[in-house]
Amino acid sequence: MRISQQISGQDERIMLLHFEGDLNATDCDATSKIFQEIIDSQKFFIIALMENVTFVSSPFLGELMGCKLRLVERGGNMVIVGLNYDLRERLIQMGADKIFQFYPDTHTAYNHYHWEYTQTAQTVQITLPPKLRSVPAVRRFISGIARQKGYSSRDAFRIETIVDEIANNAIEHGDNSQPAINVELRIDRKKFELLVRNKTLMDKANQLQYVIDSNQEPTQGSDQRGRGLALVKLISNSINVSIDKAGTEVKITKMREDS
Amino acid sequence: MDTQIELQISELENVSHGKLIKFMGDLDATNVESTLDQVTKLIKEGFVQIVADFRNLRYVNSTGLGILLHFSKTAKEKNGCFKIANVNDNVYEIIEIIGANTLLDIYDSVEEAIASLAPRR
Repeated sequence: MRISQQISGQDERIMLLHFEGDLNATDCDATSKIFQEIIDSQKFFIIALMENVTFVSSPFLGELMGCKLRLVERGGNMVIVGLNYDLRERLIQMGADKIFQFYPDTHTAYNHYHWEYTQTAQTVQITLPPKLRSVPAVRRFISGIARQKGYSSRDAFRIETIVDEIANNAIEHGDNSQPAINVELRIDRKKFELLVRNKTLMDKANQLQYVIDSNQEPTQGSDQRGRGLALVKLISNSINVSIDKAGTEVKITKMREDS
Repeated sequence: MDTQIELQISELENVSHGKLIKFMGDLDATNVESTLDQVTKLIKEGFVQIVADFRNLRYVNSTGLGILLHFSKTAKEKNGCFKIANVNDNVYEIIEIIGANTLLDIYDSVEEAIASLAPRR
């Protein structure tokens, strides 16, 4: 076995550990010492690069699990990158996929790190024509992003509902001459934010503000707008409206259920 | 492109003025009008004992819920009913949050919904 370490050029909080050759039981002590040195240097995030690894023994895998535990106890983590297909299959048979995340390249591992530990939000901006028929594809797309980002099926469904109701509202009650509806989604590990901007006639915008401020029950009355917004209020954590001459912006925040 | 929703309508055996409607797809603002037209036509033709099978209804929004409440109200006004069965968990939750579960007749299965209907005389 050969092992070398290098501080990541992308983020100095991350240590890159290059492993090469066969990882045997006899390499456990040396590996444990290296991990301790890294922990002592206050680095708790490790990307283990294993594209040149040819074999991983069970005792060595056990040692890696122990090393990972030491990192996790300090709020850190270790992920494995670049394993060849056969080794990856072997480790999965040994149950290692329950402990480690495997990634094909360092780029994906960095993305995982930023998503999980730096609370960096990812943003998607969509411009859609002010037609009701453009909404279903957008709502399913955004719901799909939420699922891909690890949100539960229930959260994703609620997000789909929020997008649908707010976008429909912006189209149905917007100025007929508005050229487009702007939808912006910001998602991080803990929360989902949706901003919908459109051009609304001032009286309708004030009506929107009134509906949002009121405590109308969803089933009260026959007004679709009231029912949709009441539903959004109930399934989101906050809803804010800002109105000016340029248009109306509705901002919805929904916390991730299991965050 | 409008969201696809398909309504498969069939007879309900041993139930007078009865129809089974299978909803398949998403019920939303893009297709409420066509759904409203199809079900209203049935009710106008006198089929007022309706069971709606939601096994394959993936999604419903507030506009869709609005017409479901309308179907229920209209059928009841004609001494009939609009019963719903096989609602998936996500859709049921939205129905519940909006408070429509107290206004709609919801059953676990089509069989249970049919059993609750008045038999053919």
